[in-house]
Amino acid sequence: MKIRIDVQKCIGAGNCVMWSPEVFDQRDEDGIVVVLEETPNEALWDSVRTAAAACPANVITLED
Amino acid sequence: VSTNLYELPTKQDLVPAEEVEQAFAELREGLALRQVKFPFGGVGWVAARYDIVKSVLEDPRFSVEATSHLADYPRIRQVETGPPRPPAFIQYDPPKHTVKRAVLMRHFSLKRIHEFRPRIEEIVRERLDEIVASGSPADFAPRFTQDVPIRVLSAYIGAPYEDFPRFIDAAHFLGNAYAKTPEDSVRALGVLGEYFSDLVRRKRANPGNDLISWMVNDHDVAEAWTEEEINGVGFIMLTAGHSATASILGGMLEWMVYEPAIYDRVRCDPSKTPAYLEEFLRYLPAGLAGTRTRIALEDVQVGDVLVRKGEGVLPIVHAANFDESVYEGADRLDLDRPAGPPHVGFGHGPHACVGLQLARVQIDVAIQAVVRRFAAMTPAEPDPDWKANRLLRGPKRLMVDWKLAD
Repeated sequence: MKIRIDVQKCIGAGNCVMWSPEVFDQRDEDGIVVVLEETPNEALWDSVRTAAAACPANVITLED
Repeated sequence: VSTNLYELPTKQDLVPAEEVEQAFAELREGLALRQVKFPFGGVGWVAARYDIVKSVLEDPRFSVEATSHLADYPRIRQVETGPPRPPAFIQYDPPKHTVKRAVLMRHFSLKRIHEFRPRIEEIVRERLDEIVASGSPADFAPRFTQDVPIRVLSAYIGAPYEDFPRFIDAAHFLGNAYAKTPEDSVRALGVLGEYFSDLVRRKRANPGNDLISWMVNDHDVAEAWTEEEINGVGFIMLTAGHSATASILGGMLEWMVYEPAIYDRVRCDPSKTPAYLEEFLRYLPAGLAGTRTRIALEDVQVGDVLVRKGEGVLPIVHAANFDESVYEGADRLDLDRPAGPPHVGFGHGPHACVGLQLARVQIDVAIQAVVRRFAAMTPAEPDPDWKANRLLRGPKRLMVDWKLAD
């Protein structure tokens, strides 16, 4: 799994950090998403999928 | 126009939840968008299906900002329009909205909210101490379910709790859609505007560790916040923010009090509260629509409906959360619901709720504190029809017999 984000569309809701804190964080200055693990290990995939689905701005795309 | 159109209600705090849920079920049938009679501005479109609600909320051709230039449009609250005034932050469209929202979100990141958590715990503990000192039974609504969000949000923005009498009636009046005439809105808005202007002046002179002070000191951004913008953010937090949080906290506690199995389940493992909360956030209405009317900037085809330029569309998030095609048995609360598409209780798209993490954390803290403090909570005034009598905005009265935990 490879995570792609469209940072221009991010609205800083923080849902990704809530669902998958090992993989996502927010910048201090504006709450915008930071990807900590671009290719997370398989144990985290479920949480990453939930995070992607819960994004209100459809910022997160997952590639196989 | 047909005369038997569904008529959206006002005075949202008095509306039975089941009544609107039945109407919303009918509105999800048939065309992608349905016409209803709005309390203000006549007949307009509503979106009630999950996919359609999300697509309207994501579509930049549907503008929130356009509403600030219109004297009249289909809407659920009189207050959304009025005499021409600069749009508040919440009404901006992208790209301006995107820039301003990023500045605001530095003050609402999960990290910020977690730093604030000890203060929430303190507020919740004080409320429970007071209830315990006053004995059983006790009315948890408003003494807990309303008071916790009021105190938490006032602490967050930096409004001393003692100031609440200056504006809380106006905030309730506007938030629950009691204003009938433009004059009603102007009067209540005046009360809130005067209060926030005074608060901003005090924070400029004597900044604290709170939202208004942080916003006043956001000098490193291209454009500093205007006083109107700061007022607008404070206004939304104390009207929509506080009443929505109180609705969910009150609604969740109501279920726990009437359904001992749910209470025991949360009490058995309080650390699961955030997971249960997500189902409550799907299931409980935090208000009639959860968002504002959008105006089509051009002709837009939405499924099988053509929305003409200038027409209004209101997405109803509670209706979307009850969409059977997305959630099996959507009208049942199910704490074991398998993971599926996320609820849209906090909205969707660029205008999704700014305070969503603050709301989640304070409800989590409040519910965990309750189940740790009390071994059992049962209704002191049992109502066999409690499910049918639930209100859209949560209980106004919740008399509870409580028993302390060992």
